[in-house]
Amino acid sequence: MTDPAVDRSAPVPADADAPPAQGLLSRIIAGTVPAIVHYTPSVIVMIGLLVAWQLLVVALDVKEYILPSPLAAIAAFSDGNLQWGRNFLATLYAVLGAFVLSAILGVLLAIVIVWNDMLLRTVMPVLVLFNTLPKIALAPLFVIWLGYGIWPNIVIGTTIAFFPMVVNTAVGLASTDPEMLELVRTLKASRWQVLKKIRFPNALPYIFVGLKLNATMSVIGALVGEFVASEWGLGSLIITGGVTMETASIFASLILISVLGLALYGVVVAIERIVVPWANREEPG
Amino acid sequence: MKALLRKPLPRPTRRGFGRLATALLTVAAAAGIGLAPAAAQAQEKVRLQLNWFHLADHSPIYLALKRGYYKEEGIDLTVIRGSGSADSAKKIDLGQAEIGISDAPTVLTAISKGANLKMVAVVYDKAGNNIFFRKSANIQSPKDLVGKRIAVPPADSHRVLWPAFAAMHGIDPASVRLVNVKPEGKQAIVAANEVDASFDLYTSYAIWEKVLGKGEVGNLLWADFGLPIYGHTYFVNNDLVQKNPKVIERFLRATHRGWKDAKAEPAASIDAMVEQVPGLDRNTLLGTMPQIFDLCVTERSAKHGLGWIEPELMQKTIDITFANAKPDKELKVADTFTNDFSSKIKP
Repeated sequence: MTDPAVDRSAPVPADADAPPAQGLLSRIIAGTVPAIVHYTPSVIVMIGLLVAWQLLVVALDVKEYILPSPLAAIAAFSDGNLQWGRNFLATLYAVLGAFVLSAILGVLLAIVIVWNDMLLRTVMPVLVLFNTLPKIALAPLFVIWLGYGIWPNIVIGTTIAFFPMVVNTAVGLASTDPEMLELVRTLKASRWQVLKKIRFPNALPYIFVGLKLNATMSVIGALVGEFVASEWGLGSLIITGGVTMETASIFASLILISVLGLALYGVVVAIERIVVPWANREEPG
Repeated sequence: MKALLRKPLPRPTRRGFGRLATALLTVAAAAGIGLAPAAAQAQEKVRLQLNWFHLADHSPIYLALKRGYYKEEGIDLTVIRGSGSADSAKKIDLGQAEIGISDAPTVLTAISKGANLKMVAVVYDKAGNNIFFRKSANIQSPKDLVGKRIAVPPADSHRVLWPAFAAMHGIDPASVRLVNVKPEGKQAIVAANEVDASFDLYTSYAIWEKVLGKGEVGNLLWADFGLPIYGHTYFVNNDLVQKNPKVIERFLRATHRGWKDAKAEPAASIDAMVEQVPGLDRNTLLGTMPQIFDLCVTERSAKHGLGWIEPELMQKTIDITFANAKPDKELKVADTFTNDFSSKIKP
């Protein structure tokens, strides 16, 4: 889980000769063109898969209630009875809530764990134990304790998404260069200063790895909640679609869910580019 | 790592034992069949896809199994646990089982979407669609549901029928808040007062009493409030009707012998299922049997035999199923069912 972070952070230090900081906008534009080139093949593959799916469904005459074609799924968006706007917003709020709460909780817990060895030894096993519990099995209990709706779904999403945040942030905070720590110790830096000026900036790439995992897991978490009990939401539409055999509406919901997950992930990546551009890490300086 | 990949580890011995056990069982089974008197008649494999987990209304099938009625008909029956009527309908359409049990409205919906299905007998002569709530909720008639929150377990036809039922009583469907709930959680969410009531089949009465307490359960049976339609039915793929119609008749005969016996000895019926399916609560299941017989064994079954389907009532079921959502394909009632395979066994 943390391997990519280690690889990425490797070239970070000792970049004093990096080119001077460019304007934010030009940097984004400069990053966009190669990105388009980079992702073109994967976009082509995705479109190819969709076309193949459409053609196969038509050619093999698959019944729509078993597998709708992509076009039939898109057509389901025009069914006003399904109240797409309201259902999408219900899921969006739950996902965003779980994402933000997991991020805050994850970073705070990681700081607690790294603060001293005793806390690491006492808190970490509890977190690992909690993480091994199948949240899908716990979700019905949350419904009994907290009811149903956006707030309980945020809680369920958080229980699923916060753990990778904690682990990644903690690894980041702990992996500071020991020589750097010795240096600031000789300068009589307080623990708080060490955390703020050395450990935290050093951990940022790891935190972003955690945030990326958090982005996808918050979506899963919100849907787990909606599957257990819900009045509104895309998960609710999927369940109803199963009973009424409106399979096209299930696929339409899945499309929105993937778009939501991809968009959130994309936002995290974009912020990462701005906050942790590898060329010049120490932004404020 | 590479060395490991090149040279696979020897299989664990436990698996060896498993294989041996399977082989022994196969031999034993073969020997058993060889010795049985019915061996002269080749046993035909038939898979029955249930609508849901094992409930008391499935017990007559196990009684028939235990008493060898299927064997006498030359049927080697495998019973497959279900996960909702819609799923069973799909499985029969795809040929993953020969005979299915599903809610009639769900089978009709599937047919309207192109599934190649035909109903061959009813399980529930009267639909068990129903609403459970705490007695203290003071719900006397469907009108009292306005403004309430109702749990909808997505396992049966309640969600499909609700708009028609609401319209019948002049209730604006939007005035009732429907909450999708995992079927396993429907009692708990009412017990926790998170919702006011839950849709659930009348035959679950004993389970509700177990959760909410004796004398605490209130209910409205939809059939008592102007919804006289068919409930669960046995149905098959039309291909089976074409290719092997006799097996349907034999299946229904054995099944209805089980039902006839179960009516006379409900405890024996439940015991037969509890013996064959692990993890069931015998007494709660037995407690639901009176309601099941109320709905399944009616004056119509006494007149025509168990499972008989009346065209007028099936037409009514179609009308109500599609009252609010036009079917993708118009249905002709005569195409949706047949009594050709009726067992004509009277309770």
